[in-house]
Amino acid sequence: MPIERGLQYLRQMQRVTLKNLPMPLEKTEKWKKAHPDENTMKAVMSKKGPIARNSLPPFGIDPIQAEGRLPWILTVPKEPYYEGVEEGRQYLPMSLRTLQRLIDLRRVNPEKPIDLPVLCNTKLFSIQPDQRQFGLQLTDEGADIFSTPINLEVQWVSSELAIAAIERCGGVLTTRYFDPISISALIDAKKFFERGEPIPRCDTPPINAIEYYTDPKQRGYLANPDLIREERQRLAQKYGYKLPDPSKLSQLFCLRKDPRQIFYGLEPGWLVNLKDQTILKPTDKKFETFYHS
Amino acid sequence: MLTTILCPRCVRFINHFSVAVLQIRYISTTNETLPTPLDDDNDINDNINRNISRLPDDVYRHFKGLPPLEIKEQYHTRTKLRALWGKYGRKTDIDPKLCWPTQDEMDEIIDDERVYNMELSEKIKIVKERREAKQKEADQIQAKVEKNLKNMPKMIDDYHKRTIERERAKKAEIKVKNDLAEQARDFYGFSVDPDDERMQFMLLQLEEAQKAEDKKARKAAKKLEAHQQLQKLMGMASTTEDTSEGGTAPTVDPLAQIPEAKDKETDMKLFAKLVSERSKLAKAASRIAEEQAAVQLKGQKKK
Repeated sequence: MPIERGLQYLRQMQRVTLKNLPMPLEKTEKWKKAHPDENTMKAVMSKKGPIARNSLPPFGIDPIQAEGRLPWILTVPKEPYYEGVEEGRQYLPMSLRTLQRLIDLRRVNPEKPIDLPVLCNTKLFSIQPDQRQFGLQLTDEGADIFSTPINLEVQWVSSELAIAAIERCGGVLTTRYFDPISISALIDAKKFFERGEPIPRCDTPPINAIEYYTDPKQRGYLANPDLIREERQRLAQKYGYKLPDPSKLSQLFCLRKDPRQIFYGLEPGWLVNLKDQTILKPTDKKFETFYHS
Repeated sequence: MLTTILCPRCVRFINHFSVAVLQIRYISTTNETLPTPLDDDNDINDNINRNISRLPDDVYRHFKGLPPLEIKEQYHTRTKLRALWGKYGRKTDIDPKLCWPTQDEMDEIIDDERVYNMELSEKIKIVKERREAKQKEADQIQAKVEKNLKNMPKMIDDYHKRTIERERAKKAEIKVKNDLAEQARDFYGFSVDPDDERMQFMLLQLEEAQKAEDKKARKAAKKLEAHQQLQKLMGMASTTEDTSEGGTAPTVDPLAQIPEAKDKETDMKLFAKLVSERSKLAKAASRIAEEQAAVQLKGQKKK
């Protein structure tokens, strides 16, 4: 406190004058250092070099050792927001509006279950399994336009609105996981059968996807069907529509796929020949147990 | 005359003469019957080469969707034979057994799946465990927070007390130093630096004086205790005399310390605390310096 300091000076000093008091705030001429002029700077500082040319390297790097360029590690910028991009799964978006449009233009039959191969046969979606694309996802757009009951199977749904829009009309939605080998079989079924390979067995989803596909809120295919029924009623209450009776649904709407099954009606391990219109099934026990496990 | 008509003979639209002229041209004037096909032509019809496209044989077969007649040696791999079977079916005499993996390959596949792919139940377990571990950590932190929140008022009070004590210690330090400086000034007649030897000399004198005082106080305290014990013994013997005698004596203790001196003692105690803390630090620093010097000496000796 300056008051106490003043009193202290009064106590201790023999004579108190303006000159005696130490006042560091007022700089005397001794302490005053003139700011260097441009001329002095020009005379003192060198005219060449990185300082004069405003091209010093960033802090922490020796300008002499750097030899005029950044060290190799600093030439590539750091982009930590792209960390998990190489491992991430991609899903092509499909809106409810396109679905409704396809149904109205009779490119897709709503009375049969709508699946990935059905949608890929319209040649509107080009899914590339090389680029870590694992199927289709459903988006919100057109939720108020949608008005047909369908049995839909998609790979990813991120919004509750889309699920509610489908269930309001009396439809059914499930999310299903396909691994890249099965995706290559589903995209172009004709090409796959012309390759002459038996139908592959679908793998279980990876660990970071299991939480999604066992969630009844996302209508995962591994979830408990009782919980799914509860969630349907919860959504109906939230968005304010009445769930239609499940007994009125046709049998096709209750069709679901086994976790290892890819095509409706075809089991893994079977050989299909389109030219002969035949299906060949393996009879060996080993094969059967593997494909049906 | 020239009109564009679809000629029944040709496929293309060409500028033909009008239809009436054409019809006239088609009708034959003779009365002969048209030639009928003979029975021999059935065999010939099969052997007639209807390929007039002038394409090579394999290209023509590919164009028509027929399987190739000869399979080249390069195509005798399993994938290519499978593809031929898948496209053309039974007409190619390829055994569909090729399409499935062999027994050995199947064993390998089963082994690979067992090793590299976990079962669903295991994956679900792992996911659950991770979730529970996260929850556990969160719960632990929450419990800690709740526990500490209960102690918050107490901690706040402690903090206040500590700050007050620190301020008091600082003030006490200043006070004590100023007092000592004044005492030295009075003693010597001029201002003395605290680091000077004269100050230390004076402090020693003061300490000696204090020790003598302490001795006196201890002796007086002992006397007091003896006096009180005696009084008790006296009191035990006769109670009535005590009330008249004891009532006058212990109200004023001439050997008791003055309350003013208590502040000085506490100030001195606080100052001593600070000095001891600083001296602890100084002692530790000196110890480290000694160790470093010893290490350096050892290094020099080794050299």
